[in-house]
Amino acid sequence: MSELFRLIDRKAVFSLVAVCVLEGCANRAAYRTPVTTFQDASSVMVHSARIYLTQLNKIERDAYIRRQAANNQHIRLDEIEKTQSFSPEEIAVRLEALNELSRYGELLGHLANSDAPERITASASDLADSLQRLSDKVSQLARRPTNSKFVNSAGPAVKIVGEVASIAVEKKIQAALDRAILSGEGPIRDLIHAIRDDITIAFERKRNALSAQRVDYVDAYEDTVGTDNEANGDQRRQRANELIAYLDVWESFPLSNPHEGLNALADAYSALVAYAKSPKTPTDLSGLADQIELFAARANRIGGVIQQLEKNF
Amino acid sequence: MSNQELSRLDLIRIIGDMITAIDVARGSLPKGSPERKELDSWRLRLDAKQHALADAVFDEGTVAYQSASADIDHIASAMSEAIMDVNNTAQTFENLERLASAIDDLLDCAASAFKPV
Repeated sequence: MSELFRLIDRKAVFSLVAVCVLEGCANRAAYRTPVTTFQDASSVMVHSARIYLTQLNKIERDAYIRRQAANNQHIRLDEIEKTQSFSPEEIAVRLEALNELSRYGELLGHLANSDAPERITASASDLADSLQRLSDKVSQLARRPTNSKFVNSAGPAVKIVGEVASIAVEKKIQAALDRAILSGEGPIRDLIHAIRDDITIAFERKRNALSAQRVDYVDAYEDTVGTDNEANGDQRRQRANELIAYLDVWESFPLSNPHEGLNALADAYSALVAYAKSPKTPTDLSGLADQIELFAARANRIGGVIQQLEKNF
Repeated sequence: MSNQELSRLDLIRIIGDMITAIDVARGSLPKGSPERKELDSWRLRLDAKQHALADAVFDEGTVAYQSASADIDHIASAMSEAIMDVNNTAQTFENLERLASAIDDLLDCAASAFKPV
């Protein structure tokens, strides 16, 4: 009889372990598609944001040079320096933060998709190391007030991602995934919003610069109006075509605003959190998938327009 | 949009809208005309102020910030359509003077800002 009880007990324990293991796997499997979509769309969004941040100084520099040329004025390097919004280091740290956000998305993807703990450990360990370096660089930016929002939001986000990476290094996959999604929401949202604000400024400054160029193209065309000979006619038609092409760029430019895409990224992150907190029913999963798809659609649309603008202009 | 909702980014966008409207007016006037030259000058000034605003840090909860930002929004809303009317530049220049003054008031209440000339 006691042997029977031992057998029943062993069966019960085995069943309990099996249920736990399967549930863990099922939970990871449920995350799989939306997290992969989230990761892909994040990469597109980070790439788009990277283009804007990289262009931040170029926009101001080019606008100054064009202004001086249009007004027949001298160009001075010290004046160019004054136009720059961020130092190369300030831009580099923001780009690095974006890169870490993207790698964090990759880690989430590995956690949700991979059954190879070594791969996760290597990825998480690498992320934890680079986060430490990023943290040091971020603290050096604190001296300038303009960086305060970015610095204040990057610190907590770096800390949370570092903790998740540490758990993942220990191969506690489900725990790391839960920690990533539950603890990381606020700090990651704040960091995304801080970067979004910097990029929104870059977008507005670029809109300003592109708008000024409309007038340059119109002026260039107007310079050819009046004298009606063959050479002038050719030049006039050429400038008309240049104006047409430029106004096409101007017309599509508003569609490249990364503001909405970064908001969608933050919303998608919140949807992941909501799902993690939910009973994880098929309805919960469906809600998550819808939100992530919405983000992916926005990210891909914006990414496509930005790539087109880069190609054409 | 209520006054409380006007962030620094909203104001940068509002000033950007004014600048692009000025460009429409500039691109509709002969390059050498006095009105065009004055609009060119106003564009330069507003561009410098938008740049200064982009670099400034504010406490958006202060009464001074909210009052100055509401003034900017009010003036910009009132002049948004008229600014492109090249037959009424006198009114436009008067409005631009008020707008520039309101932006200066805002920059004065920044915790940190580079003041444009």
